[in-house]
Parts: sequence; structure tokens; C-alpha cells
Amino acid sequence: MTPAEVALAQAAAALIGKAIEGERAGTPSHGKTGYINDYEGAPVDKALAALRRQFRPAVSYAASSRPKGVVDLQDPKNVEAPIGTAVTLRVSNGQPAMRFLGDYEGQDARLAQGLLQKDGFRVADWTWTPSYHPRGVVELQDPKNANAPIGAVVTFKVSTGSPPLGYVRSYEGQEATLAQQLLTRDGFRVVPWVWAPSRRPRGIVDTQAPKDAQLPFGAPVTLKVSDGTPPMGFVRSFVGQKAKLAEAGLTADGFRVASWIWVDSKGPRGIVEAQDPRDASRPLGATVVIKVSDGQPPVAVVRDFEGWDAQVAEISLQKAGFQVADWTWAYSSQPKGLVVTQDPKAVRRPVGDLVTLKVSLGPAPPTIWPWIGGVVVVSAVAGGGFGLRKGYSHWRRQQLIASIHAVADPPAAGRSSLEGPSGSPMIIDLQAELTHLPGSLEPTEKESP
Amino acid sequence: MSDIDVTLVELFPIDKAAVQKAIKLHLSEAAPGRASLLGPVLGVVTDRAAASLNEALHVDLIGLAGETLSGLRELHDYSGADKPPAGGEAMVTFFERTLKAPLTLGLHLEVDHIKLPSLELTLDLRLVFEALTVTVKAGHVRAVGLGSGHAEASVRYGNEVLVPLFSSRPLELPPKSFDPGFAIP
Repeated sequence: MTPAEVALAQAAAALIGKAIEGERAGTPSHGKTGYINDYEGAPVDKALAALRRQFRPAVSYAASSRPKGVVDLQDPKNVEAPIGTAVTLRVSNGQPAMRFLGDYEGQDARLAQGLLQKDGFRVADWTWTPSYHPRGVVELQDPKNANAPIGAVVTFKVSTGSPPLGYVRSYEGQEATLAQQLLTRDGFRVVPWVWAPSRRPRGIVDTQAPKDAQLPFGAPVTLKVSDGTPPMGFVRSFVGQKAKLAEAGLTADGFRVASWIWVDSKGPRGIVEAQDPRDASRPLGATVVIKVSDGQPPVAVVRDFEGWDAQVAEISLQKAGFQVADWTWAYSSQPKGLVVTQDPKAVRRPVGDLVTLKVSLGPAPPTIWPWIGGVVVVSAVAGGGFGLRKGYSHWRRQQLIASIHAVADPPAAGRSSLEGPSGSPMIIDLQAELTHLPGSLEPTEKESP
Repeated sequence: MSDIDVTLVELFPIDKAAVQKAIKLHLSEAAPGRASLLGPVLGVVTDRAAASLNEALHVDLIGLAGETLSGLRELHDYSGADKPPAGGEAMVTFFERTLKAPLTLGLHLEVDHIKLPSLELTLDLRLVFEALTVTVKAGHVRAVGLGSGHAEASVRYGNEVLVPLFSSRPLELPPKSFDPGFAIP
């Protein structure tokens, strides 16, 4: 067969085919028209029954969101068309139409919503959530990256623009390693520890910043961890100052002030009389004891030392806080050196009061100083005009008395008694003084050979 | 051996006998009515008086020399804070000189609250040295060095010599500094 014969045969076959097709399509219109109604959404049986009267409906089945047997798509529809026109009906087979649903997380929510709606999906009302993303960005999308029935509902969680917050718990006093783990678990970032002296054991969190606060997740948290050595501070002295001021100052310095100890004192009420420790280094947090004046002078019992050795009496009274005046001496039946009378005695008196002691010279000698009949007291003071004195010694009155007594004893016979009518002591005062006269400088005289 | 801290009392202690003699003379001249009154206690009073007088002689010998020297006319040129000129220091040396430094020892007596005329003893002190060095600064005698030498002294009550001139042991008195020193009038 020649090519021309082949082409002819093909053309003939085409014409035959068209003829056959035309017969299948129905009756020719012969110029008449009809109106093709819209049957989308209607049951296919009803659509076919109506369309077959004038047109040639063709049915195909496809997935659709409509119920099974319902016309999903119709073409043409709602038009005037020649009688016998072919109308295609796509009927839902009951299987929903699927479409790939993209991931719009991190994108603008409005834009994402528009695109999804264009693809036939529905977007539910947004829910807002704290996020590090800018406001209006899709934080979470569900579903995503999957085939989904057209018309399916997509949910968006959209960023409010404010970061999510977490509660930073305090781990002070807890083991630093554990604290770090728990803070990390809670979503926070623990910066490298800072080691510092502390009264806590080594490895324990001494201070934490921030703590007990709402903070964005991922915020840095600093832990100051004890290195086991106590921090030291200098305890200033507040003696003589107001106790309230002292307490405030010591507390500000990092020390703890124990309850005030009120003590009797001549000082004004509320003034620190004593402090322990003071002017010393101590671990911060150490307790400082302050004794505070109650404004009441201390009172003590002046014991009765009459009949006691005068030295013992003086020392005991001084230890009790009393001052002892220079002894006065008197002959008495008491042995020498014993206290004859004491004033005051056996009473309560403010500490610091003066106590006088009259001390026995022993039994009175039968006779001594004929002209006065009293006790002789000699005091001597050495003085001088030079500023270069050295070794100055103070003569104790009682030593002088002892010297005089030694001179007067044994007494001369036939003299009157010491306890004579006058009764007053004879007092002799001595004072030596050195002054210099103008000097001169002269050539040294040579000794004759 | 250095005698840098030697005192007058170490060299010339006054004995009780001299003091008693002086008291007796004094009371008989100045307070004849009271002399007998003190009679019975003269011993103890003398004892205390001697002790007091010797106590008053606890005076540094070099310091005494410095104070005496500050009053000498030989140093008058250095009177005033600007002498020698500011920051300067002058050293004045005297060779083979005797420094006469007379002293008065006053003894004030009070019996039964009645003041007696003061007893006054004179200590004629002489410091004999080969070379006497005085350092002057800002109008003050700031250091004195006496070197090798000796001291002499006599004690008298008025014209009555109680202790004849007595020479001390040889002395070695190195330079000694004083702060602020003795002002040169």
C-alpha cells in the first residue's frame, strides 16, 4: 500500500468513527435548544432523569467531600445549549477529595490562612500563644505536611509576640549540681558558677539570681556557689555610741547582734558600754554581743572589813569596784595593820564610791610628842623645774607613817599620851624643788703640776 | 663606758647629816619659835627631807648641761627659729671649758599647816670637759656632747658650806639629742 492509500484509509476511518460517535451522542438538535440546569449537589439519579430528556449526560465518579451519589461537578450548567448537548456529571464516590496541606509554621498567619483557604481548607479561629517569634507568626499548625481532605479544618497557634515565661525557683542552700540540673530542666540557662566564700558548705548554692520570679524560658541564671571558706569582715567598735546605731551598723557590716545585755552603768541609757568582739576580724554573720547601759549606776554591797587586814580590805574593795581613800591611822587595841573602822560598810552603794578605812597603828605607846598628843603625818613631795626628771617615786603615806612610828618607838618616859586632849594630828609637809641658776662657760683652770 | 643617762643624784647624793645641819641652821635663823616644836621629829623630818632632796636630784646630767648651755651668751647668736638659717644645723665646739651650772635646792616645810620659810641649798655644779659640742637647730639646743671629763660640786646653805667641793668619778658623756630641745632665749 502506497502512502497515499494509507492516508486515504485513515481519513475514511476517521469519518466512520465520527459517524459512529454521532449516533452514540443522541439525537441531532436540528437547531433546537434547551436550558441546562445546575444539578451540583443533587442526587445523580435525579440529575440523569432530568438531563436525559434533552441532553446527553455522561457520568463519572470521583472523590469529593459531598456524599456518595451526589453530583459534585457539572459541565456545562446554567446555560442555553442545543438539544443533545453532552453534559458531564462528576459524581461523588463517597471518598473525600484529598490535597496536600503544607507547613506554614514560622510564616505570617494571615498569609498562611489565605493560602490554605485557596487550597480549599478551612482555618479555625486562631489561638494566641506566647512565643519568641514576632506577633502574628504561626507558631504551631495542625495538621501540616500531610494529605488532608479538602475542606478540612486547620488550627493555628499564633505568636503573641511576648516570650513564654517560666518560674525560676530558688535553689539557695541546695547542692549546686542538682540546682543546675533542675534549672536546666525548667528551661533556664545556668551560667558557669561563681565560687565565693560563704558560711555554707562547699558546693552549696549560696545565692541565686534571679530566683522566685517569672522569667522568659532560656533566661540566664547565676549561681554563686560556696567554696567552703567563710567570708570575713571587720567588727567595728561601737562602744560609747547609741546601741541602735551600733546594731544597725553591725548588721549592715554583715554581723548578727545578739539580744542586748543591759548593764548597770553611770553612762546614759542606751549607750553601748562594752562590745565583744570589737576591732577584730570575724566571719561575716558572726554574733556580736553588746552590753548596753541602762542608765542606772551599778550598785554593790560594801562589805564590812573591820577587823581585817587593811591591805586585804583595800584590794577586796577595789575589786568590788569601790575606791579606797588613803588610809587614816589610829592607835587601837587591834593589831597593827587591821581595819579599825570602815565607812560605809555593809550597805549597798554605787560602784565607784569612796570608802574610807581607819587602820590600826597597834596599841598606843604610853608617851610620845609632848606638845600635841596626836598622830603625826608626814608627806613628802619632790619636784623640780626640769623636764628631764627620771625615776620619780611617789612616797606612800603609810610607808612614811611606818617610818615615823619606828622613830617614835620606844617612847620617851614621862611624856604625855598620844591620845591627848587635842586629838588632831600634827602634819608636816615637805617639798623639795630643784631650780637652776644662770650658768657660765669658762676656760678650764689647769692644775699646777 | 658611756654615762649617757647619768643623773646628779648618782654623782652627788646629799647625806642626812648635811640636811640636818641645814635644817637646824635654817630653823634657828628663820623660825626660832618653831625650832623646838620640830625637835622630837627632827630625825624623821631630816630623813624625809634628805630623801626628797635626793629625789629632786634625779635629773639627767647631759640634759641639765643642755638647758644651762641654752642660756649662755655664747649661743645668743642662735636665738630665733630661723637660726641657723632654715633647715640648717650648727655645731659649736668649745675646747677645755668648764661649764658652771649652779643649782638651787629648795625645801618647803609646812608644820601643822603653817608654812615655814623655805630652806634653800645651793649646789655649785661644775662640769669640766675637754671638748664640749653643742648642736643648734631652729633656735634650740638639739644635742650636747661633753666627751671625757668629770663633774665637781659643793653644797652650801647660804655661806655655810655643808658639803665641800667634791669631784666625781671620770665621766664619758657622748652626744645626746633632745627633741624639741632647749630654746635659746
